[in-house]
Amino acid sequence: MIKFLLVSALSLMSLGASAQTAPAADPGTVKFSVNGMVCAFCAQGIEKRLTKMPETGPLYINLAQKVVAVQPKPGRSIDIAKVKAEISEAGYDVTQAVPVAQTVAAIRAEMKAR
Amino acid sequence: MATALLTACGAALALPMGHEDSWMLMLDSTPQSRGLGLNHAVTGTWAPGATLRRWQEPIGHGGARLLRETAGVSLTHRLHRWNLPHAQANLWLVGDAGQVRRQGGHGYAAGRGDYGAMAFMADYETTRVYVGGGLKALRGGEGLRHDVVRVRSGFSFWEAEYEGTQPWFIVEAERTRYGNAAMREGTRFTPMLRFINRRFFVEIGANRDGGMFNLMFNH
Repeated sequence: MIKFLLVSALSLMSLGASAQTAPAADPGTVKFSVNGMVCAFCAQGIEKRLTKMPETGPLYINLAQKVVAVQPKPGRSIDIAKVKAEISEAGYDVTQAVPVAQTVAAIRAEMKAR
Repeated sequence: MATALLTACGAALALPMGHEDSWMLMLDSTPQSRGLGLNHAVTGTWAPGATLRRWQEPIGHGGARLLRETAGVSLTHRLHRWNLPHAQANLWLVGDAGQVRRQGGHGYAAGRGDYGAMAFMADYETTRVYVGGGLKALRGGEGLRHDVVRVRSGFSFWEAEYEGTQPWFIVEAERTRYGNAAMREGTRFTPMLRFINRRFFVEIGANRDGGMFNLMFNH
């Protein structure tokens, strides 16, 4: 019995350890490259449209790189076609949409560090 | 004096309307003029609005001036936008029409009438460089007839974050031709600092007439 308890305890500890080292779940972020997005005053239209979408969580706009990164709310996903349409409606052109396994916070930190 | 006329829509030269479903408030001030404009972007390319202007207009070479005031409705239309990999370029058409009032003095009687104005503008902007220009024709009762050409160019001191404030150095050259040959023509160069912070767009400058200030707020 003692042996069984000991094995069980070790198994649970092992599970806990593997949970800590497992890679984080994909946050579902998508990075959009946007032509024409050159100033904060005009990029507001994009921000306003995207934050109105119910699935939009954290959002990051980088004018220098012409990038808009959108992370969905937990349990939701980003509909790339829908976001592209919203950015187009705001008056800009999306040239690329790339799903990335990074949070918006990580993308922000990475781009600021450049 | 050339600044007196078009600074009434001075800031609007940079971006005369906001994104769809947004309101744009524009305030302009120089020693000889004040302007207030408001428009609402009903689509991404059309923005009806209203405008008020008040300026002192030269009536000769002796420095005499007459005060004019206008109140009108405006319509702004983005004719075309080019979205380039590192730049944006636009063509704009802005019209306004309404009532003009002239204060009497210097041998002129006070009076009022209708006026109409049409402006064609173009701009090209990257995150570091700005070039823009426009032509405006203003016609109205009580001898109101002005043609204005304006060019602006400048650069940003650095590339700012979206959340940060971006400062620019801009130089404006403006020339006004008055319908009455007795009125002077003039070209003014106005260096200015421009600050953009998300919803706010502020320009502060000075020329030999004095200081000028433009503010735009987009909501």
